[in-house]
Amino acid sequence: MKKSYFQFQAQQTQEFARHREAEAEKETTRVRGRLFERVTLHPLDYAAVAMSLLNLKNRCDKTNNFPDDQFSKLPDEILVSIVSLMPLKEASQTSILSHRWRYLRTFTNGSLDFDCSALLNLLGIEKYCEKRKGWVNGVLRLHQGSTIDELRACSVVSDKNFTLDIENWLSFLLRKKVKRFALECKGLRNCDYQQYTLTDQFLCNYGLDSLTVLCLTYVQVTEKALLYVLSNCPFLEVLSVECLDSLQNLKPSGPLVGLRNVAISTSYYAHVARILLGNVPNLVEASYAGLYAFFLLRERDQMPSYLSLLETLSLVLTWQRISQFSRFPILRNLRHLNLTLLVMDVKSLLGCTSLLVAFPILHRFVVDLMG
Amino acid sequence: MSNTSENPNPSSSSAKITLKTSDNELFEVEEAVAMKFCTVKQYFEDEKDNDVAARGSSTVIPLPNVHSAVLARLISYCKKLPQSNAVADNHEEEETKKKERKQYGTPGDLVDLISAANYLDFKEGLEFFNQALADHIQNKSVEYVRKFFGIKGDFEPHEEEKYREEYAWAFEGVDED
Repeated sequence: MKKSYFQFQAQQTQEFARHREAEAEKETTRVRGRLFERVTLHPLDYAAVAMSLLNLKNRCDKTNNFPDDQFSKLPDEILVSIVSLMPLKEASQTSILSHRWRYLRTFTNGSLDFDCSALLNLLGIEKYCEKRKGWVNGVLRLHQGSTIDELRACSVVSDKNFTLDIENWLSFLLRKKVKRFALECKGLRNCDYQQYTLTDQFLCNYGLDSLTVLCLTYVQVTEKALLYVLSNCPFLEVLSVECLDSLQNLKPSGPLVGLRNVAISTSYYAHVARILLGNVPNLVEASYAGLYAFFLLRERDQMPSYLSLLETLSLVLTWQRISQFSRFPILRNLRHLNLTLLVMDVKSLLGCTSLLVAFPILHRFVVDLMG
Repeated sequence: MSNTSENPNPSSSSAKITLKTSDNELFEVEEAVAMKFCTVKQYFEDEKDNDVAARGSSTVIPLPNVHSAVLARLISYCKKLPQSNAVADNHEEEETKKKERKQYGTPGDLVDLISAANYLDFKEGLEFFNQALADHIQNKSVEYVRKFFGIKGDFEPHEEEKYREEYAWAFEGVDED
């Protein structure tokens, strides 16, 4: 009868052992062997056997839960928040650590920054294209967190499916209430694929109220889509897009209070500056190129009303243009001025002195000569 | 934090709260500091409600999950809080903050600090120490992190091979030391 008790116990141990790894199992067999030896020696020693079994169980538990693992003291939520603080690449590496870490990363809400440029340089464009897909798609597919704060990625306009990819990413991210989204598309030199065009038909399926940063490079945006963004993103702070249309009709309904940094380029030369920026009272950084810069200066009398808080201004101008203006509009808050001059030959930069008068607290003045 | 002089009004910020750690040590802490620990705050407020006779400052709050060594460090961190909370704008500030985070000892200490900060529901501390631990882990090879923190790589060799393949992009350009 006593023996059957031990057998029962041993059976349980066996069952327990089945769930463990090879290493732990080896130990079990070893200890079990010792145990039966002991039974034959002292058949009546219940307590000792019970103790051994208990020890055995503890030991097995410990092998499962590595005794020196520092992280065993911390709950998964904490580990997730630690992983959230790391850049995507480092965070992804943690999934190789052990079973426990395998999917922790996918629960993060943090930033997903696919540091593309570095990788692109490293791999070369063709190899990159090949890898990129599985990579971004893989990370997004596994993502379990309820929200995503940030996604930075770049895509190469190289294959027919890239439009689908971008739309998949966007719809996934907008559903996850992404706050900051930056997408840089790159065109291949010998490739005729069209740029991706973002339309309002696509956007209107999603709520955009979480967006604070939207930067799209080499992606075109229709006028309607732009208007949709401007009127549906109450917290938008940074906007950088390339627009397809002339923007003649772009009239946002209310003032864009949150917007602090805008860069809109278009192939047309409408009076975007006035139309759009007239409604951005808190703008602190602006850049103008080509005809925009020209218009900006030509309409200088109206300018202070909507650029009075400007702290950083970048202008791209031809030398002839800059010398046409003897008087610059005064911007009392401007601290940084980046001036890119397209020049044939410049003998002296004396013409810039009028700039310095116009910006009383200018801290940094950078002149780039191109030509 | 400089008003250590005696204040006739016990409810002012110089009031002290006594905390008792797992190893039965008593800590007398300024109320302003103790209130940063939400768990303590909660306990303190409940206590106040229950005991209208209000000997609030003389109650001892037990912290059975926190060791005295850890609590001492948390309190010293708490006292330094105001300046370390400034937002890092530029690279330089980020570097000094990184150095500051490094001062809080070995990863093992950090795990204890995080565990305690979590129990005490001390948000700023938790964020800070989490970041410090993240600093320790990132840019290290998998083998290094496993060894350093005693994590047992419990994948079968073929599994590990497969997962590494899956995340190959994350390992591109990582120095293997």
